[in-house]
Amino acid sequence: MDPHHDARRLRRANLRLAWLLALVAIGFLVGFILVNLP
Amino acid sequence: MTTTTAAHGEHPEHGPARGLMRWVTTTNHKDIGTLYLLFALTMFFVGGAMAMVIRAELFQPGLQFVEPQFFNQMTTMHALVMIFGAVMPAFVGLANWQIPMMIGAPDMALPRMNNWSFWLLPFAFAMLLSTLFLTGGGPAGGWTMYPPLMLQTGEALPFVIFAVHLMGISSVMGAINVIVTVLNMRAPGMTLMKMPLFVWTWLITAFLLIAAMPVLAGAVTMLLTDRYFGTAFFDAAGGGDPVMYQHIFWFFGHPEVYIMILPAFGIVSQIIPTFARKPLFGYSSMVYATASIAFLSFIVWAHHMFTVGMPLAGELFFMYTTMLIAVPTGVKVFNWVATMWRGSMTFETPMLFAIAFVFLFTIGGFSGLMLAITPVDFQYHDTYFVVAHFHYVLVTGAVFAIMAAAYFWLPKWTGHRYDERLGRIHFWLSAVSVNVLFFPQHFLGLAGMPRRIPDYAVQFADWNMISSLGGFAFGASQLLFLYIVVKTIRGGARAGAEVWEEAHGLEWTLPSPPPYHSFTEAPEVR
Repeated sequence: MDPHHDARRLRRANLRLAWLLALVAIGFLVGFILVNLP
Repeated sequence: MTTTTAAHGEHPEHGPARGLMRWVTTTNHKDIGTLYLLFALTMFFVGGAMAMVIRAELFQPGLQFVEPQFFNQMTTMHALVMIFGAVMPAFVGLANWQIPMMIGAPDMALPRMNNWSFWLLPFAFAMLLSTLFLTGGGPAGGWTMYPPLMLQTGEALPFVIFAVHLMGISSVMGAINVIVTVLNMRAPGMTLMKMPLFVWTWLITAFLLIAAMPVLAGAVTMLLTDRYFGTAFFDAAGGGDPVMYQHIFWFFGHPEVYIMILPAFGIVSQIIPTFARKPLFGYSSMVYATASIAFLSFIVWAHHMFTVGMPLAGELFFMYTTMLIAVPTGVKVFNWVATMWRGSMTFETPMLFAIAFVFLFTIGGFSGLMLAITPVDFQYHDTYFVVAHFHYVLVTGAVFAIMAAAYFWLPKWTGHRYDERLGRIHFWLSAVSVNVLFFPQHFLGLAGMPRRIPDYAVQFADWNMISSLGGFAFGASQLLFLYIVVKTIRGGARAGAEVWEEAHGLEWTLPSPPPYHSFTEAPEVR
């Protein structure tokens, strides 16, 4: 993707990927706590 | 690899804001990179001061300067500050400065989050360091924070845990920014396999950060709830298991080691081809080796805890997987040496640090292999041999690479050449003193000196004295580094766009210093 053209599409793609990665991180955090409940 | 033509515009009307608020509200990748680097340098001296306290106390047997409890706080805080405050932010600073310029992007993908990622750090470390003034002092259970020892910490515990949470959030946001920038913002023609090695190693590091940091956050959160909210994650009396903490911590901790060394591999892979005046030998094998190391980092964690009493099959598994890491690492070392082979080499300061990295990091790698052998580790575990090993990896590895990067890119960042003579003096002082500091610690460990103690048997006196002298010299040498950096920022001979004779890549097509907004028009990558 050319970052110098179509700024709106790029911004949407950036936010989509960022949220996906953030959800993965949050999932790891919550998952690790839950599987370790005694 | 890539040949490029410069295409960039100067937009003075879009320059930085003036005054202090420029740095508070900035969303510019260069400004944020500078903030990260200055923060890391400050923390390097804070953590270094703690190291001086440690080495002063260990200068001779007996208790000299500090109480044992304060000594333990120093070892704990030294590690936390150096890992999370110096090495990691330094690499994030380098990534902020270099990645957009290297891939032909105008800025990082998420500039406001970038600002937030940085500004969490001063608050996190202010909180962490303030615990030294609380009743009971700071954390003293080691940076690994094992329960039940860590749960005996005084008022400092929740502050430490919240500080670790903030550092984790900062790191994860920084990693998200790097991944999104690299995957979405590359200039047309900049395919993944044309990316500079520094960008590749950082992309892989960012995935490690996203997978590893939440695990640490989970571990310390469980410590917090065990202490204050009645849970028993790590309390055997309540059905929990303290050894489980060690498994969780090192599932984070070993990838963390690679988080601190993969970007260093990237830096060295940029510098050696430049000063050998040859393309990097085995570019694609470097990429695959980096990815292999990252994958293996998730299946070796229990080699840090061979002595807890694992089943034999577990010990064998973790021994073999750990030894397997030597294969991709060996590929890398071979490729660096092959790049230098018959190269037209010159030995400016960045190259000196890079060559020292290859040599001394390999020593750290070999001692790591020794520690990987399970029955042998039973002897070495928790001795100064381990301390020597990881300081070779992290000081002559990560820190030397950061210094190489600073000398390599300072002329690009500031537009001024650094004083080469002083740079070389700094290198030789550092290279000699760091070996006087850490090499004797191998002997101390092999002779049985335990780590994390303020006093020791007289049989360890001589090597400890030599190690401390090396430590003081290494610490003092870094004041020269500070002087060189300040001098270069303030002035010096002008640096052209292509600072080094055989420097290749998009960043060298920009003037030195680069304009505030790097590539407002797409550069052409062939």
